Amino acid sequence: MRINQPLAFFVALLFTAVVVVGAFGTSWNTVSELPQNPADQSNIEGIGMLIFTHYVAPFEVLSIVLLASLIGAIYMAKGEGNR
Amino acid sequence: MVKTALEEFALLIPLLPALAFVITFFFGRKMPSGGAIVPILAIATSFVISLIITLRLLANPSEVISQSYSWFAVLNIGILIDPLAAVMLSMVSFVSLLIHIYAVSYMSGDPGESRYFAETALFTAAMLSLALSDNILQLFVSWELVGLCSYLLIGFWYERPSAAAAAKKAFLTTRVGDVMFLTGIIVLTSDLLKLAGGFSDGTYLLRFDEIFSYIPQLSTLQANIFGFEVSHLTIITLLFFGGAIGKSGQFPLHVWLPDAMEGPTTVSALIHAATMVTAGVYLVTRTFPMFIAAPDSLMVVAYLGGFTALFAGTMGIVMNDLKRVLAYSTIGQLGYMMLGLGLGSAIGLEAVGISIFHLVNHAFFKALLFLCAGSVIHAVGTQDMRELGGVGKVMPITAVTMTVAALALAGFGIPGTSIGTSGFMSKDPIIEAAYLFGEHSSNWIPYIFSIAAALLTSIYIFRLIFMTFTGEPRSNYHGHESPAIMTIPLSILALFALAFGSLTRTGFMNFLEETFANSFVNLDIGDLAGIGGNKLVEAAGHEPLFVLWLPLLVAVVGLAISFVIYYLRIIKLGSLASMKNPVYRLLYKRYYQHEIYTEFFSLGIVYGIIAFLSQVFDVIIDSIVEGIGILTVGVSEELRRVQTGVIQTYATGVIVGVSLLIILIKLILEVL
Amino acid sequence: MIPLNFYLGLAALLFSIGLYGVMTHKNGIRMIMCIELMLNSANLNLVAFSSYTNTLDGQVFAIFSIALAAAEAAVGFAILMAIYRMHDKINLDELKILRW
Repeated sequence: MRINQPLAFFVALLFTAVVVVGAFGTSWNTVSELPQNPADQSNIEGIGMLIFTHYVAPFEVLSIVLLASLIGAIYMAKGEGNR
Repeated sequence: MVKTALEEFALLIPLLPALAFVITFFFGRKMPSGGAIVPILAIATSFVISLIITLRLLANPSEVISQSYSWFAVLNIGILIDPLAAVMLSMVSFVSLLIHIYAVSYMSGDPGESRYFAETALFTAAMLSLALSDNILQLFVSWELVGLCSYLLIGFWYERPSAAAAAKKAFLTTRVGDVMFLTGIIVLTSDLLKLAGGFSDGTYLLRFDEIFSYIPQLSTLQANIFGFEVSHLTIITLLFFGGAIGKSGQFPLHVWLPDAMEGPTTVSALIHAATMVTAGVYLVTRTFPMFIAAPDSLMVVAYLGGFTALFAGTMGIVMNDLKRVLAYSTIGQLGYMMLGLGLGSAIGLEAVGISIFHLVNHAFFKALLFLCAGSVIHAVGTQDMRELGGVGKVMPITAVTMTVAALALAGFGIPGTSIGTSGFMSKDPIIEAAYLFGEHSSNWIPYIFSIAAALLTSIYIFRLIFMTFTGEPRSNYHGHESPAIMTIPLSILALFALAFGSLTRTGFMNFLEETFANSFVNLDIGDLAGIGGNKLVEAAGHEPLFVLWLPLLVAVVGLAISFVIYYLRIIKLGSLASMKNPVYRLLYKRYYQHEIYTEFFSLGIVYGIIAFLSQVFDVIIDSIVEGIGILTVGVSEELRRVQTGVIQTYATGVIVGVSLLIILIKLILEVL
Repeated sequence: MIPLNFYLGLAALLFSIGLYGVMTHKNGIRMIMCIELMLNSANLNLVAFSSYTNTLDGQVFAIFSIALAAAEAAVGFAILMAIYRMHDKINLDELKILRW
């Protein structure tokens, strides 16, 4: 049974409304101002430091997952020759 | 030191046969002759221990063995070996031992041999534990185990429909009594709890000494049943007696016992003659102080016992099946024991002595009778007396031992001396006690019952002897004497049937009268009888001469009648013993018990009611159950359309659900 | 400065567009593209929160999530190719071999 387009549109609209109302209705606990100095806005260095220090284990696991999925994808996409 | 050692061994008495049951049941098939050696050795050890304990008690009757262990709440499990239990233990283990030895030959070659020995070992264990239990609940548990074993053993040849039916009948009939017994225990427990003021640690409420100590208070409790003021004690004892009726085959629950002869003959000897059926008598004896303190209970016991003795005798004289005659004689003798106990209202504690004395003697000669019958059946292959005759020529040992047993059953002996068969030694005191009772209360009914039953007993047992062992063979059979392993137990039992009574008479009775006055319980039976309103006879033993000689005279008359009819065959019964004679037909049809019990009561009333109820319940319950089923099927038939298998539908469902949930939570929070 | 709520609203809009696509399209490739859209709206949320709370963890997770999306896309397209080879079409609602 496929969802017809008006129904899908209605559902999508409902979901948007719920999330937007929810987002705007919540007072988020944020910093008052973003850093104004453009030089400070580069956080590539900080991300790199985090990946290789605090998040090194998830990073390694992710690399294995990526490798495995790529090998699998290649195996499946390669086609007839393997059957 | 010796004492403590003995007390530890006492536990082994029921434990060893129980262990033998386990071993034989699981490994018996791989052993020679079905592993018979295991139960034989176990029971022999039990017998030796019981005998030693009995002898020790004999020297000092007040030093009973009593051990109690807490079970749960105010209940306990324990061992009590007083004179009564010691006698019972020795008798059961001894008779059981001889029957086991006999059965090695009798059962050889049967495919279920190991099962047979396992079940008889279990039966012996149950019976021994029944005898030495020190509280009423443990006694009931063993009692039920005994009932189970009897079911298994009667239906031993379960491939025969008649055996299966007999087993079922025995089980259901005794169940009627068991329910009464259990009800009695429940009433007793609730009363005791009321009197003792609830649970308290350290006392074992249902132990016999505890129960007996509450007798005076129990007898004051009154209940109103159908307008009659009845003492609670009377209700309890009569309920107990109901259990005893079922187990001991008393009227009107005796119907299972003759049918129980479908099992192997050794089973009949073990269970339905010597030991199991005595459990009922044992129960009444064990709770005798309660019975004597309860008004009217002992009268019921006496009347029912006497009536059963007479009733069984009338049926015994027309049966043609060897084992059935013996079955009816068992019922009759149990009736005598009950009668003896019932006479306790006049003779007090002496009743326990004569009744248990008769129980033990009866165990010897009835086991002997059954084993002899088994020997004949084993050799000849039929148990219809009309087809037998002249067996005495080919089986002399069996014929002699069976005649001894018949003499013991009929009660031959010389009054006033200590010469006589054991049956005489114990049956005579019961009849004399009945006379005393009659003199005492001018109520001669028990005495008349007992004398008439004695006459009938003598007639039917000698009819059996003459029809089986004398005369000419009435069919073609090829008999031979049984092997030594069968005849030796017969000879031992014959010796006991002949001599045990006269050797132990006075000592035995005195010993048993110590049962209720020792280190465990110390009761004054006279006081208790006063509570029950029973006046005891002060002096006994002044019966006129004819009272002493009448039982013997009656037995001789019975012998003479049988001799004339069945040996000399001077009087031809002809038309008298045919189905045209209404009396004969009534007896031969066993008072139409089958028609009354099975067809009218069971099939007609009980089955009819149950069938009707089941119809009603079918309609009500079935419509509920089927309605639920139809509803479920209908709803799920519609709901399964939701399960499309298309992932987009599910995703839509999840999203709609989450959105609605959030809205709902928000709304609820707003409202609150 | 743009308030955080606008980022969240954009992410919600993106997500709903992806959702609409997933619900209506039959074509497997289009569905995977729509799922990528939904995934990236989540990434947008992660980065927005990360910036507005002055912590870098959210951005690290966004990078991880992009890597996972790559793996997912690779496997998804490989499966679709295998399906195409077997059935000569990639209309997912016509595939019934695992149904019932």
